[in-house]
Amino acid sequence: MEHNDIERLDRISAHLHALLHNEQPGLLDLTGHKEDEIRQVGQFVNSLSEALSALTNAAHLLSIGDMDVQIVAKLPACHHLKNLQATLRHLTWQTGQIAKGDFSQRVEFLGEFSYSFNWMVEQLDAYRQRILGQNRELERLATTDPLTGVYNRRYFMDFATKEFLRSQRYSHVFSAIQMDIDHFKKINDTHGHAVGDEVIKAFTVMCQEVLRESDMLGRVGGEEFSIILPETDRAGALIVAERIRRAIADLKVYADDHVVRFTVSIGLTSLRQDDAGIEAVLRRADEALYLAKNGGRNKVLSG
Amino acid sequence: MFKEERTAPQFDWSHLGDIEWGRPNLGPQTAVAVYRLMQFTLRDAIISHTDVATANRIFYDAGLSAGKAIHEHLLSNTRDFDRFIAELQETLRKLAIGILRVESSDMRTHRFVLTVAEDLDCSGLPMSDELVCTFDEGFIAGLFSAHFGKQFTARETDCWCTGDRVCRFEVVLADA
Repeated sequence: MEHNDIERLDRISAHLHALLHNEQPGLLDLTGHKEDEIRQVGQFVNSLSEALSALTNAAHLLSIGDMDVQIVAKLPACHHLKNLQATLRHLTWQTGQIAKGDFSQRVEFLGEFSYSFNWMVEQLDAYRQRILGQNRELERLATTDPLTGVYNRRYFMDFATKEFLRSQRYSHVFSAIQMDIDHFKKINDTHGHAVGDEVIKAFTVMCQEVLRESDMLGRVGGEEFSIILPETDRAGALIVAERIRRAIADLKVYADDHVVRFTVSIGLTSLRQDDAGIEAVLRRADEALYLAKNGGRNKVLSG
Repeated sequence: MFKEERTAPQFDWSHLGDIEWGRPNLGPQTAVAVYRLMQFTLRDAIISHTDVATANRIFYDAGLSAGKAIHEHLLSNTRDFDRFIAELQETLRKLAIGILRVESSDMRTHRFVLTVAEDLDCSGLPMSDELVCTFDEGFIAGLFSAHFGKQFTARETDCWCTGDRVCRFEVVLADA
């Protein structure tokens, strides 16, 4: 081997050494060399040098989260890097989906990370379900009567107010019913509060059997109940109230070895044009209830 | 039905026939190589008789019909995009067509970037520096057009044959 060849091989060797040690060797100067073999080796080294430089740059950008980096080098390692880039882009999209509430997203092809990520999503979903369940339960507790499960006074009044405004806006009709279990104190005094509770429960069950899905029953006091009948005029409300009165009069509540029978007094009214608010409607129904009570109980009267 | 002259597509799902009845012993599956044999000999013949642009147009349009047919017959008619993608991912995997993943989705501009890994058309093909998944482009455009009720186009930007390990597609509104 001639001295010149040894010198060229030395330069190529130094160039490769620099590449392996993460240095920037620049391009080999190939001018002036006549031997094809040496020139070709030099060209390969330069191509490798460029490809490695591009790969290093792409890997660096990807490692700091730049997922739009263009990976153009043709080295096999670049294919894997592009595959990782596609996976990370998809993972980014999936994370956004999870943030939007899509907990069906699962990561694949990332080994232990997939397992941990998917476990995290499952836990988040389970936690969210628990919170939602608790919220539903809190809402139920805040809006219903614990003894009977029917809506409490506050929720009933909200509903009644909305129904009043809706009916007024669209010139529709609705009716309100006020009910009071007759001689309820006597039932409590005679049979005890536990039996009184059973009577209250049986009363609401019977009312719900008579009412439609769209009707709203609320427990507004101890033995006082109210109903809103949307899209129902006075004649329709009288039919419903009379059905309830008769059903309750026929109802038997079994408590220990006793059979408890009771009645209900009912007052009702329908929306009028000059009603200023839901309070005016309910007051009129209350007055009718008062008359029913004073008129001998177990009656339906309209105001 | 199959050999009538036509100027517009007439493909109907019933043209696939009753496979269960027709192949009681061999069943509904075949090898990926057989699918590719058909795809690439067909492409070869079309290019021989016409040119590359015509072959691409034919494959794209065929994919478009296939995408719309799959949407009509194998996916629900959900209007929800996330649900659509989830169903599509499951269907493509079940049919061993590929592993679909979404890289970005912009519902405002209707621009989407998708990748398909282990693609039926190209994964494992020799490197050629060509984007070869023309049928897939039409197929994806057909699926998106059917989902949104608007014409979409799909363009392949990376392919196994250009050195990638997934095929990447940009999907946009046709008039965008």
